[in-house]
Amino acid sequence: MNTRALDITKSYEEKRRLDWAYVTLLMVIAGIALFFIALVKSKTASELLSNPFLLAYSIFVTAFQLSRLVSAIFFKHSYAQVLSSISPAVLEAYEPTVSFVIPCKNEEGAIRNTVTKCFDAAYPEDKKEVIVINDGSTDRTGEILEELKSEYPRLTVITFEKNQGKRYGMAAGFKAATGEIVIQLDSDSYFEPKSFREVLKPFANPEIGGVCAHADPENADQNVFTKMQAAYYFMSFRILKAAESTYGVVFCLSGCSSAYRRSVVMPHLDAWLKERFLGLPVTWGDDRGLTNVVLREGYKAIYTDVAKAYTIVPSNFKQLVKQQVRWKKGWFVNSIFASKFIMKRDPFVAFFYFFPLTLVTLMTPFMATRAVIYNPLYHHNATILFFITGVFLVAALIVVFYRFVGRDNKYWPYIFAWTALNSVFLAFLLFYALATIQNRKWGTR
Amino acid sequence: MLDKRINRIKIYFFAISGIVVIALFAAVVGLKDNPYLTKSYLESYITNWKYQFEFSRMKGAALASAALGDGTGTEATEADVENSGSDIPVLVYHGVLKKSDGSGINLTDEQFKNQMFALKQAGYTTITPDQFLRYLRGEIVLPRKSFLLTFDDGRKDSYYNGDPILKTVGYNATMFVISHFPIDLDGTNYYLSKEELQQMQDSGRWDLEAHTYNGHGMIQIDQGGDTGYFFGNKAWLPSEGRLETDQEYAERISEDLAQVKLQLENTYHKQVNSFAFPFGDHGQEATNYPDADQVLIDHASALYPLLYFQYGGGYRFNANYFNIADAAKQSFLVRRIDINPNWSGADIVKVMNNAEPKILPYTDAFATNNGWIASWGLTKIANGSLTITPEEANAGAATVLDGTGGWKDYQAHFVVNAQNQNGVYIWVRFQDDNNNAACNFGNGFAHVEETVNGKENVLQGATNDSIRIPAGDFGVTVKVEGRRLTCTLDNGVSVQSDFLDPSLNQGGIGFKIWEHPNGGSDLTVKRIDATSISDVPVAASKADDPSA
Repeated sequence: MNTRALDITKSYEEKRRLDWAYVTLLMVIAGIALFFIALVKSKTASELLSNPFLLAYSIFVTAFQLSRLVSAIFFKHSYAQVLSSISPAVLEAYEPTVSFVIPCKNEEGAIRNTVTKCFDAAYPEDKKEVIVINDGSTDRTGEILEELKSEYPRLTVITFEKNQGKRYGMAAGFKAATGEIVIQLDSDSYFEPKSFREVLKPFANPEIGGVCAHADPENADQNVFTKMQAAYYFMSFRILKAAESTYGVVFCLSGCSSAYRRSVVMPHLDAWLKERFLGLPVTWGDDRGLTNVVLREGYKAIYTDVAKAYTIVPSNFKQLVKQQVRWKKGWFVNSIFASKFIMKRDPFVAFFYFFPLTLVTLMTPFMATRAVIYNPLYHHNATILFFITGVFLVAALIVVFYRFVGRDNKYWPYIFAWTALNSVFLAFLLFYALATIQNRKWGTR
Repeated sequence: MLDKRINRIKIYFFAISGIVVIALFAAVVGLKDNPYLTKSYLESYITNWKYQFEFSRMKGAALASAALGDGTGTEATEADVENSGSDIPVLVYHGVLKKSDGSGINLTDEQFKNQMFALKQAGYTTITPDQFLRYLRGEIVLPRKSFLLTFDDGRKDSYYNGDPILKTVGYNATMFVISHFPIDLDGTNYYLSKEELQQMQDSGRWDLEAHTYNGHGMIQIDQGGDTGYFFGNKAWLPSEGRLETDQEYAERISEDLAQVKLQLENTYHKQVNSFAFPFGDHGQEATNYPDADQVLIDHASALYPLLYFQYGGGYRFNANYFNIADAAKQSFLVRRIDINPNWSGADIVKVMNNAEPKILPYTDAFATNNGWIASWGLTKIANGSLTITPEEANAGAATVLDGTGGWKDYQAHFVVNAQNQNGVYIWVRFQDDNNNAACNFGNGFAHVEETVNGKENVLQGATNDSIRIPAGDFGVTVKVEGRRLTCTLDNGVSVQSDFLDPSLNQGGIGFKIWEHPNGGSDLTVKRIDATSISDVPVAASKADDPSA
């Protein structure tokens, strides 16, 4: 008994030592990366001394990227604050009614699993309902939903004979919903049943208007694209979204795994449904639009890494590009919408996060073009090397943080691949997205 | 309420981000203009690795072959140390190029690498000009197989291509700088900049010394527009239609000599003790001012204790053997070995080995070339004999044995064959073509001769028709001890002088012939046996490498 206890102590000690070594290693790598970032910047600095704007910009970009990591460091602390004012007993007893809203179109392959998983969620049966909006499916989706209805009496199916678009589906779902909390799910996403409760917990604090769960790709191991996206998802949820969540201002409660306080959304549902941009209805970025409602009304939108959800990500390049174009359009339009209220809502976030992010996102393709194409052609200098090195050093720093918060996530090397793909291709899709912004076709994903 | 708590986080954010941004900015400013991460820096890093790898492989192979006992590595013996004089070889390089230019002056990095690796492997170590000077003044001892590695002109290519090689083998080098380019112009595409030279000095591998301020060009030297070297000639003054006066010449060259020293010392905060004459010309070559040599050396030596030249046209040893008497001298005129780009690693090691002091007793049966330097004509070593042949009619041929310049009191027996019985001329106490003694036998005469500062003198002569150069092989004995030189033919003819010039207190051996109008004046030497007369070792200032 004693030796066993000793063994446990010993292995615990060992584990702590390993942890300590691991953390130290990460710190050292981060230090080296920071040093080299400064070194590369200093090289660019002397090249750019003649151009103070570019010099300032280059320092600003790096500072901004680092500041996002700083914000992400405080995510856990901030999340603890959300729940700190509520006693554990109250939190334990907090069981709001929940409505899952799932718009779908031609999802005969995925819909059964999505619905089943909702009912599997570890939560009292009588406190949850599932509403599926069949948005003019032409395959067997309708049949499958009928079958499911007989299996699950708390399943409601709303059928649109003609396809109306995801936003209309969502709105119909919200209107039919009776739960205090509405879980908005994509037709191919689902919550991990055992951690489902965690997405509801923050709502015990009345200041919380929306919560985004952590989503990972269900099909991560399918091919190199899905692995890259797995790394990208982890980064954008656990690092970038977490950084926003630190200040209670998540700009995108992700469409695949988010919960809303229904009372916050309902008064503004029709306005959201009829949102227009440049005279045409907005057919993408529904999730961002809905998040804007929450933020504009003064509620907090946060992220939790404890509740986990899964979704299917595009497995080929063409689909990935299509999705990225839609996301970029959604980002652009909703950033314009958000810019109208964010300064009043939270000047700190506006000036230290929102506007810098907007500026960097818009400038990145231009800067990349300058460093990779213009400079080598017209100045024959080595800024292309510095540019690439700088981009990868920032990626390295992100990977260090990634390894720090997600030791079990094995996709981290793909951050570099994603970074490469993003800087040579995906970032440039912004041009295409903006050029085709008047194309309001309804995309499935 | 939540906002209040979040506000506290915002303060943390400001604190940390502020520190990060300030640190970043400070680092960017602090690291500005650093040499790292430039293309050439990265390239040199890769090159360094390559050289290290190649050198370690070469060393590995050498160790393996030494273990097999092929006798390539021999340990220094007492005798090595005993007979050493001030015999430091000085190598001069110019450009180190990526691609050969076929100039015969510059070499490729590959050729340079082969030469340096071979020297390192053969046990040669580099010294600095400062060590060289202190050694010549008798203040320090140096390892056996020391040499001074020099580069002329301050060219970018020799630094960027040569430095990684030096780094690999742990050598240092001297760069003779034309200070006008780095200091007035801050470098060009061709010449190193001020900052680059500073980097070189900071690396500890490079010593910056003077080549000239801006006198590495040609000047007009006569009315006809002919040009000549800046230092060796009086300039033609077209506006006045005359040559410079002695005074004007002296002012021009001393100004240049002083300016380069001043610029280098002020810029790099070091003592500049070495000056290498551009083109190796200290006025010894054709000039419109016969006194140039003396005036130039006088002015240069007033500023620099070490003066360097190469070429020179005459016959000289590769190593420098300064007279002990020179130790008191204010300055030393140092001959540099002008490298041949085509020398392989083995070739340059042979040149350096040959320049090492030849230990007495010394026997040469001409199985291989032990360091016979052809100055004129052809020197051929084959079939166990040495033959010197003029290259053209009415010309001569001459050869001297490298490594003998430090010999003092010795007796040498030569077996020679003067094909047409024309005569035999043997150098004794040979220092250079202007300073030497000789035994000169001809039909009807036997002379003890000497040349001091270029002035020839017959010290003792016997004129007698009975003196004949024998047919076939015959023997000659020379014996030199103190100021006495005795020249003896095996058939009994002998001549002796007790009055060698005191400056000829050491020197080596060599042969000279003049083309006979009838042709066929080749001289063949079959064997040399030299022994030391004195048992007292010559001042052995050169110690064995303590680490060897």
